[in-house]
Amino acid sequence: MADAKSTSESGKGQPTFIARRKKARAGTPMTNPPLTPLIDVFLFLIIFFLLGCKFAQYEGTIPANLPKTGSGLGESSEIALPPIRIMLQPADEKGDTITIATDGAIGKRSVSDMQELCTILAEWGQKHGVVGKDVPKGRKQPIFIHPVLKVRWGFVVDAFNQAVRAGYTEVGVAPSRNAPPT
Amino acid sequence: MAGGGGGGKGAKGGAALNINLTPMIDCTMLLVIFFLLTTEIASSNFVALDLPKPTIPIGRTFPSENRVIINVMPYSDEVIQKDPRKAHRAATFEMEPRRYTKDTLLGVKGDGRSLKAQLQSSAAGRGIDTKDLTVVIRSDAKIDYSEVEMIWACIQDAGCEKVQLATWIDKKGGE
Repeated sequence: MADAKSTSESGKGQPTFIARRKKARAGTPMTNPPLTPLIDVFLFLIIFFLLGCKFAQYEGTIPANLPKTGSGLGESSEIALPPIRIMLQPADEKGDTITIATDGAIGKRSVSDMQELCTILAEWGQKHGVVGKDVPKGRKQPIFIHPVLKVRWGFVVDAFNQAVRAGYTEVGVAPSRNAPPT
Repeated sequence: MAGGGGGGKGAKGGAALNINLTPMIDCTMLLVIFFLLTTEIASSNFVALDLPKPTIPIGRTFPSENRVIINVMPYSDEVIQKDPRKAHRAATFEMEPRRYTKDTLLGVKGDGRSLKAQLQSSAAGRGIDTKDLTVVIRSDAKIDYSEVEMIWACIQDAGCEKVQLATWIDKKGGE
């Protein structure tokens, strides 16, 4: 630095950095910093976030704290009331559609879709006073979903969702079978 | 915030209009900051899956603490094209930090020893009891229930009482 200063002050030899800056201040206009790389980087970042981010707020969970059982899925000896049974069976060979039926405490009924299932369960629960937060533990109506072996997971979760939506808290899933229980 | 290009003089003396980049850079920076603050980087826990979409879902937000997520992965389209019988079967089970096959997770006998041990060690690592561990089953909707029920049974056998099923929820976060 000292050498550069002395060179510029003496005015001999090549102009140094400081000398060039002084010259720039004196006459020639300052150039703006190049913004193109900055914009490029920002655009890349935006595209990265748009493509790489997961909008986790659209994903949630249904609590499935099943009634306590001895081992694995199934029915518990602690359950006091006869359960409502929801039978799920594939309606076609591919399993893309589902047949829904109820049995047990609610009686044998054929259900057209999940919306109707929720309505039936909610009406029955309110009529018998077995749903809601104020219901004592011994009066809580259990529901068991019985999927046949080839039922898709999506339908089981949907049926579970409807039972919880109808106000039931004791919802369980029975082990799958090759045919619905008789 | 950002200095932009202003007007300038063309090569032949006439005024050449440069595009003012300042508002664009400002907006871009705001967008970058917005994404940085609001989005969650896709973690290995949330692998891409076609989750169940229930009619009027009541799903709640994901538990943030003391959770273990078990992802039940389907086979890829290429594998299914070669062998259509695998269309609704589970290919792998992902539980941080490992990926399991059915045999490695449940054992050849299907007693689920490895899964139980994993859950118990996860709970012990967090200093909680196994029954306080929240296990989220995150399975593809097209997979047969029979593939998932074994996992569910093992989770219950391990003593986990808090089981949750991952679903898509509406934008408002359920009912």
